[in-house]
Amino acid sequence: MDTNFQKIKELIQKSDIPLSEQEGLILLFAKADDKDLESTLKLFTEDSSWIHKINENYKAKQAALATGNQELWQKIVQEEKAQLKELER
Amino acid sequence: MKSFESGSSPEQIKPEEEIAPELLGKKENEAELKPEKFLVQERGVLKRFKGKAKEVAGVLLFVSALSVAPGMVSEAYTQETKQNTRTEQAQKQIEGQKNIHVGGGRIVDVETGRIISVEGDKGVGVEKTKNETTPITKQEKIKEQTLTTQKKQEEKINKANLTESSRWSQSVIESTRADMKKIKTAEDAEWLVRTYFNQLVSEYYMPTKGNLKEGPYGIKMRNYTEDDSGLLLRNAQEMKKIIQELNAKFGIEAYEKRIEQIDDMIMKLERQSSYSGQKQKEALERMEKLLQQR
Repeated sequence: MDTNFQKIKELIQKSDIPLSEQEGLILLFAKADDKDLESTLKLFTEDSSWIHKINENYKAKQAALATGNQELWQKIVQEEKAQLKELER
Repeated sequence: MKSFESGSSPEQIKPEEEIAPELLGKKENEAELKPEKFLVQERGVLKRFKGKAKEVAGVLLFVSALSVAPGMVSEAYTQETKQNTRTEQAQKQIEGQKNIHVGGGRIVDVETGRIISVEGDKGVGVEKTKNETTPITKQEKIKEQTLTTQKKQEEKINKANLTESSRWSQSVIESTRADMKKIKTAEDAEWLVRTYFNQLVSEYYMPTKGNLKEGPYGIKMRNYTEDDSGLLLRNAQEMKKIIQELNAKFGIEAYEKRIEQIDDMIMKLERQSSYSGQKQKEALERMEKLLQQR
């Protein structure tokens, strides 16, 4: 039986994000316990545009963490907040 | 004053204290990032949502926790205390790869799920205890493969195709090499890492030089030629070797985190400079042009 990780991996590979970024995202989820991936799988299955959004979010977070840029992190959080508010409408 | 700062320093590179804070992305007193605080801050903002937004918020926090440190996933994500969220099983499922880098200079054999190599590791983390099966022959083999790849890259890089998107990294690495000879103390080593390593990583993740365009979250994105990616890759690999050497001699602060950063950079550049990666990029660019023409 396919694991959550396996299914997420397949969804990412089918997505239109560049190959180099696909691998980065797959490796990110490879760090997690399979049961912790349920919500991510649900989100990606329900709406594949979230793969792209989560990838952009991850890249931005990586940039903020790699450079220790608190300002960028705050900007990311504010944009997340705006995205979530949009979902609540 | 550092023991070697009075010596000649390459002109093209400014020491960290002279580099604009926006380039480094941090203030001088923020020497080390506190990712836990970032997660707390994000959780504080996102916990208020309900319904579908709450589900998405959970995934966003999950991504943050995984980006910071796998061991922090559960604590940051569900606020429960659990350990060992990294699953070797999941790692094994990356098909078609014999080994994968999992950060901290660790390479995992995807077939057995065992850590087969910890490159130049001195700062020992929790996961270091898994390093009971590190056959020297495999480590040597990996080093040999890396050297061969580097030689091939060197032959492949066409200087005529290099742009500002990668040239900056050459001056960083040349300055690092020059100052490396003057390192005598742990303080010097730390200075060198903070100055040049940070500059290489910062400029890669948050570009300020070269052919830039604005991407999501206001982050600048850079276009690379295949040769740009090749040169950046070579320089990132050299920087990794330098900090491994410095760590072995003096011990480097946040060594594992730094290795994780440079490994991530190397992995991305390897893909960018690979044939398939470049071909895919070209195909996407062609598609974009076609769409624009319609």
